[in-house]
Amino acid sequence: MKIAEIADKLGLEVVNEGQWEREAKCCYASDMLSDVLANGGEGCLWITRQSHPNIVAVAAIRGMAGIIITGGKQINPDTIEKAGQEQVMIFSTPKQTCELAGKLYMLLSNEMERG
Amino acid sequence: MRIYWADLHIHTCLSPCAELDMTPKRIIKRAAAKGLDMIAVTDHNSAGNLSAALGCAEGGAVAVIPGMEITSAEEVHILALFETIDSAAEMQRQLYDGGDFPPDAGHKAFGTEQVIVNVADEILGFEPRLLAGASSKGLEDIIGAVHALGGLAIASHSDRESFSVLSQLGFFPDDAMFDAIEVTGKKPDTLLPAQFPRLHSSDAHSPDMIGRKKTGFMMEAPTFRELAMAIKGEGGRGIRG
Repeated sequence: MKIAEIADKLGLEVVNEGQWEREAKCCYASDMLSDVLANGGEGCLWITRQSHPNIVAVAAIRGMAGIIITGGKQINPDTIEKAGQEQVMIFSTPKQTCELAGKLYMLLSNEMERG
Repeated sequence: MRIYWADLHIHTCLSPCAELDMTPKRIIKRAAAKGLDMIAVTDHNSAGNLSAALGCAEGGAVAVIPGMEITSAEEVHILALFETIDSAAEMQRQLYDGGDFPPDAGHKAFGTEQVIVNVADEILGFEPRLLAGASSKGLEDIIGAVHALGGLAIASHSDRESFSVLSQLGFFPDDAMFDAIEVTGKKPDTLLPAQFPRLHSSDAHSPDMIGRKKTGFMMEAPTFRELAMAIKGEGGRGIRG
């Protein structure tokens, strides 16, 4: 499913613009960046509460489709700047991780079950 | 100048994960028995037992540096070392006034009391805040606050599997403003930026752990200022093992 469609359906707020036309194939939820570096899948939307600038590099290294920061957190300006440089899409939502992950999984379940 | 041996990461009975017999008096006795010249008392997110620790150390062979192990919003542990108790207390005030670590009986779920004691090992009270929690301040903000108070910011067990820069942030940001990093040797040193001085400390939570790991500092005296110079490699001071 296209990122633009997902953002619309989940009411995500755009923090950093990027590749709207890109397809998200899967999602991954984790706040430990070492875990995401090891296991975050290419083309996945990544759900986290972390907003440290390192999230941008981790998403870029893993070729992830974008980052959704949950819990309505204030986002570090350095993170937004890095995301601009790396063209990594970042969204924010006041929803907590579990609720957002559940909704996102429902949207992507066909893609994810196909693997 | 000579080499002073220091263990700069020791918890007291105030830390939720430390044993109750980690009273300042016993810690200092054990540190002296292990031949340490200097220790830092670094409870999780609290300066509550520093006054007892410094009081116990007065006139003795082991110098005590007031410190605190602060948990950032990313759940990275940061050792903050200060010249005075007042600076450590001010750091604590900034955390608590900012709404971090609200009073909450939740700490009892961790199975131990968070005990505040005096120099005679007598119980003064129990800390009601959940010291095992995390600050709302990010890593850079905490390092900035420590530096503004003249303190040293050290990445705790930076290569460990939990609560470390590597576990929480995936890789070590080159531009982090740490003065030094504590290493455990669990991961290849190449994962850690070369520019940070390496320290070894015990992260003791029980008396037998005190001094198991230590760092030698070439300096004039076991004081905070000398330590800061040694970490920064100034005036002929330095780290020597």
